[in-house]
Amino acid sequence: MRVAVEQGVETLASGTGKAATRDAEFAAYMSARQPSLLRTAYLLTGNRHEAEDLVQTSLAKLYLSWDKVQRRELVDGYVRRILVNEHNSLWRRAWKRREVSTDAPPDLHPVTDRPDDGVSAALWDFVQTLPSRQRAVVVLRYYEELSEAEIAHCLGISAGTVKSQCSRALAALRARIGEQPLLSRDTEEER
Amino acid sequence: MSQHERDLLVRELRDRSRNVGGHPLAFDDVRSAARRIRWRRRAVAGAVAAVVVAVAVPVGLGAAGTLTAGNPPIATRTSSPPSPSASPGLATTPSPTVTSPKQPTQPAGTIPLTTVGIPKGAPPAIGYLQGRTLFRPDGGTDELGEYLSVTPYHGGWLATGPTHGEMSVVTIDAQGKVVDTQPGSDRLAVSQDGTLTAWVTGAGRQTVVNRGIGSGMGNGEAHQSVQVPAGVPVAPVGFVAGGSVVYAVGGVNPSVRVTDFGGHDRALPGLINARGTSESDDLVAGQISSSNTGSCWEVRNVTSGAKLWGTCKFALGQFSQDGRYVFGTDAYGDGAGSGAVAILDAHTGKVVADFVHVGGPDDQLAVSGLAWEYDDTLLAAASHQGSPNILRLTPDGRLELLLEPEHQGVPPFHFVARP
Repeated sequence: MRVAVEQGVETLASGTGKAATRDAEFAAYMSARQPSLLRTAYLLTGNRHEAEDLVQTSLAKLYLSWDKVQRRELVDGYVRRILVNEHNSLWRRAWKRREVSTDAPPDLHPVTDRPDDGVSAALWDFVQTLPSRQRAVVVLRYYEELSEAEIAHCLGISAGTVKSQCSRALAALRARIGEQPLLSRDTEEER
Repeated sequence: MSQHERDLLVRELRDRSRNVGGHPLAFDDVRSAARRIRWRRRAVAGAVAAVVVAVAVPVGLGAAGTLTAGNPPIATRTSSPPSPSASPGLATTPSPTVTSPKQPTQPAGTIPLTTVGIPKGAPPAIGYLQGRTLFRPDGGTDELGEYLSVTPYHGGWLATGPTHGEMSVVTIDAQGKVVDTQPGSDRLAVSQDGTLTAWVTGAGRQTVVNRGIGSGMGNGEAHQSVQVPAGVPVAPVGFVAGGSVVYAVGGVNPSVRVTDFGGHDRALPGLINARGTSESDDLVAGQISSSNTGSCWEVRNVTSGAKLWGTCKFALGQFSQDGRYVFGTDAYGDGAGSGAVAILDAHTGKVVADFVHVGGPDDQLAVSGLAWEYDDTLLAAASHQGSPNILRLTPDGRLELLLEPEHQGVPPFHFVARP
């Protein structure tokens, strides 16, 4: 409802229906995709507030480019690329570092409904220790389920680098499993 | 072999994100943010496009919007140059698509930043890392490993990069063997004469800024250290007068400090980050503020604290070796790197050359690394349409592509740290 009101304002302000149509298209897309983007952003940032900030900036940049995206089927990939690269940008990393470098843990309130005997927390800790780009590769590969080629295109790196980043992340997780009794127990149970 | 780890990861990521969602953002929020970004971009690009279009004269514009003639200057501006010091031979042209909202247009007064249709230049005169290989200026190569930064040290190398998930400083001997690995920062700084190197090591409650002999086979007593605030990220920025080192401190209250390793260590008031210093002129390029749409920076004298000039149009980087220029990138870090590179007069802030890439969603260029090659040539590691390469940019607006296609395959490039 709020969107509709704002569209009307935009229409009156611009004096044409073109802006309203454009905004309506964008608002519809935003409404449909915001939850998904927010989930991905949360996995990238580990923090709900940062995730919302990241999504807002990414959607704002998408809004500015909306007219340029001629093929609507490419929008998802485009906004995902903005989201991930925005998160990876040096400037934002510096600020992220500034904001989370406290004694208090980052946003760790549980958002899972399965019993957590510490395994989930240990895994989440692991994900959060991954370097920014490696974490992006992991999220895109194992959450978004993108192919290596798609991730390479998204991040502007080679498919080989994507593969090696995934391998390193899994190797590090394997090493962590060796160090973490909780994860090892979880491993044994599943086997 | 790793199916189980994969399963663990997939399950954790799905579970962790399951209850995250909803629609916390209103369309109005996003549109307001977009307006702020647009305003910032206009400020960066120059807000007088209409005036410039009116006076621009088309000269030698190629079909792709770039000059392809062999005579220098190589690149072209879209308006009269912003600085009298720029080459008078630079061509001007109107924006051919200014009336079409769907076609991106080159901002007035800027030079197209692209890898397409520009001349080939001589190979880089400074070394660079590509993957695990160090490409030396003499054409030779060394297999060092995947690092973010490297510099000659004690006859071998000092390198930084992630090791087992944490940033480390790695000492490598002349044979390429790793002889020491310590937790540390990702940056290195080198003095103007190339003899001193600064780096940061730290673990737990101890963080140390180091200064040591960088060239030749230095001895132990030449190494000096100073302990700095622990528990927060610290990175060297560069050397200033008297061999002092400026370093940046992250954390909740970020700051920039300078130490002479002799008991004098102080903050540079008001700076929250810094990316470059000029040892010859005792200057620092530091960040004073940031927002969701940009950042503001200034150049000041380190000893006196006097501000020379400031800008909110560019994030300032390193100074040229002679201290004449300083480079700038997007004031707001966007994407994998900057889509613009500017060369500014280090003492006045005047924009000498402003290289800007303009492209749609399928034509993106990102500069991920910059280093001064000589006093008047700047190298940029850039990825354009998925193809990484190295560009040479000059204050008079020249742009060259340096690598052959067979060298392009493995991004990113990291330049050897040098003065």
